[in-house]
Amino acid sequence: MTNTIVKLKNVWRVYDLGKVRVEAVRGVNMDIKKGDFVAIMGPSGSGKTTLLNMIGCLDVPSKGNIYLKNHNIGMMNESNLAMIRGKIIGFIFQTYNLMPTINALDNVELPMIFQDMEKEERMKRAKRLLTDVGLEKRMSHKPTELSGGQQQRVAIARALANKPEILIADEPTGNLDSKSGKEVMNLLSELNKKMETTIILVTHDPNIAKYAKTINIIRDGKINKIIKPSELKKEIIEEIGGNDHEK
Amino acid sequence: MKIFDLFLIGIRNLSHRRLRSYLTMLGILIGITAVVALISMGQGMEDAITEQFESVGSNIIMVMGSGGGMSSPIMSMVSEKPLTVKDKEVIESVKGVNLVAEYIIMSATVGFHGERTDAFLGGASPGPTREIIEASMNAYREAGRELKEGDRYKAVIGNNIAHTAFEREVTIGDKITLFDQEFRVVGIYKKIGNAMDDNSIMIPIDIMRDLIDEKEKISMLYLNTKKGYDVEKVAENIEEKLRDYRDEDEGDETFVVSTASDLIETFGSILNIVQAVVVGLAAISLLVGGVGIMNTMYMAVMERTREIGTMKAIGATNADILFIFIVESGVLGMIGGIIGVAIGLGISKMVEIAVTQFYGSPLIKAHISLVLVGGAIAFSFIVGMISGILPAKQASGLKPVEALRYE
Ligand SMILES: Nc1ncnc2c1ncn2[C@@H]1O[C@H](COP(=O)(O)OP(=O)(O)OP(=O)(O)O)[C@@H](O)[C@H]1O
Ligand SMILES: [Mg+2]
Repeated sequence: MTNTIVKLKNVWRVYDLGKVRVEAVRGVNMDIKKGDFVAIMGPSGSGKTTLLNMIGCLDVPSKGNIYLKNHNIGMMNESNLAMIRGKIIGFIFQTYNLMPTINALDNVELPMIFQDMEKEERMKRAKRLLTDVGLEKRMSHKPTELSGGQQQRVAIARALANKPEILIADEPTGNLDSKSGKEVMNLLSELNKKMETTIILVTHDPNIAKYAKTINIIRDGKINKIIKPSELKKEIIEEIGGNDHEK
Repeated sequence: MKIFDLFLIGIRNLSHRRLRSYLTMLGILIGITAVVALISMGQGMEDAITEQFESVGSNIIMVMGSGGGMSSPIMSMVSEKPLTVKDKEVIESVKGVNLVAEYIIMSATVGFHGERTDAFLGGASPGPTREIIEASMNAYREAGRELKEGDRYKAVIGNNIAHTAFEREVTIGDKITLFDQEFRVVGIYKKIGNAMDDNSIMIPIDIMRDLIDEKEKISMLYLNTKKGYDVEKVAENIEEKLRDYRDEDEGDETFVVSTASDLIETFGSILNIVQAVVVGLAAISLLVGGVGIMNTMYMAVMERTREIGTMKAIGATNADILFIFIVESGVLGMIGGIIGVAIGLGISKMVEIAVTQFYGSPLIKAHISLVLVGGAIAFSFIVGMISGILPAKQASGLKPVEALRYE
């Protein structure tokens, strides 16, 4: 039994800007198993975000196919994709993307509203999740009243609201100091271990990438190497540009 | 259930709006204010008038002359071809006509204890025909007696003349002066509810004719029909006979024959015209208001592009987003509507108070009903929703990636 949860077959994403054609992703093949923890690393502009967005059903390939749990998402309409995003996938963004006008609890409750969960159950689960990420004392705080690390933990709680099978995180620690970054990564790897949640994460930081089980190195829209964290050597870090351009 | 939660999200979004966006509902507010004030007053006036005419008695027909395009009892006297006692005889000969009462009315100055005030002086012949006039005026006595046969310098006075026109109350037995002639007050009418009737003084018609030296002319004829005759039919016959006698063509008559139901209809149609004009103006301001709401909604969609992207990323469908924004827009309109209803009813109530103060009787009663309030609020909600459709469609149609990339 292969247990593949995400499969990419010759996936391309081409932006046609009239005069220029940008080939952001060029024929990527991937095979991610349930419970995997995959980091994607690569220089800026190499197509990491583009790739992740397609896996997360936020975008569709120009060519090739993506299968989530054996369903070809290229065949689906927008409302099916919305359902997949709501039920199967959890998103964590570099910029947290919390709703600025509502408090932490309401933010975590939001994805459950879209899945039509009962109010009582929603509140119970949202409180539970915020407690799990260590924010039981910050539930009624608005995003602006929280630190970056706290905001990202709210975002993780929100991503977990509908018990997703896949967590997608685009540079989740990119805006955090190393201590908060570590806290966030500990949360994610705990989830990966205990709940078998599949995690796909983009990062520039080798210290973050070390939490993953496998690391995909991407260059010019193509998977260049697949390595283990222990193989993350100095040469490779230099080759992919490290995290120097980010800060 | 989900609908309810999305509804709350829409309202919640609205509550975080800046003051500026609330200003755009001014158009809706003004439009609804105008419509509500108008309907409330118009309906109130119609109620008052209908109430008055309904008691007139359905078998009474009124005939008056028309002068200068106007037909009113006062104009009737000064028209080029006023009604005269000859016309009265013609009418009396029409089949189905029972009693015909002649009535003359003019404005006059009345004196009491050295004070003077303007009033309407009415002359009617004592006896059964007077009752027709009083019935159609909806006049009942509050004190004293009616004019009777053989009365000479006796008067029955309107409620305002008795209680408010002079410093001192005028009571039964008091003397008032009309054309330098003293009259003894023998009766007082109850409040009727319109300025003309409440400020009128009724005296015997012969005495009035002598005083003003006018033997022929008539302001108005009131008549009732015999039992078993169709009032409208009798009115038609009267019109025909009078036309023949006065040698006038159809459509160019210098007199008007009307029944109680005619009067209600005429008044109703005048009101309808006024209402149509104001509703037209209100529609324009609602349109402007709708465009204003549309504009703020477009702004809101732009400002919240990233939030929309995020909502889509966490599972919102296009329909969810559409619904949230339409609700927000509808509620924005509804808030304008609620304030508009409050102001509109306030204006109507103020007009009621002002008119009552001025005329001393409630000519207009502010009409306040659940249908009006609920209807106006629902309407403003719908205007808001319609204005929000295009911006909401734009929001729901945003591509998730692009919305998330939006700075
Ligand atoms: N909407 C778009 N329209 C046109 N070109 C785009 C668009 N999105 C991305 N690109 C281009 O596609 C390429 C890959 O972009 P992508 O955002 O995937 O890079 P990345 O690996 O995530 O980079 P970074 O590390 O800086 O986030 C870049 O050359 C970028 O300019
Ligand atoms: Mg990126």
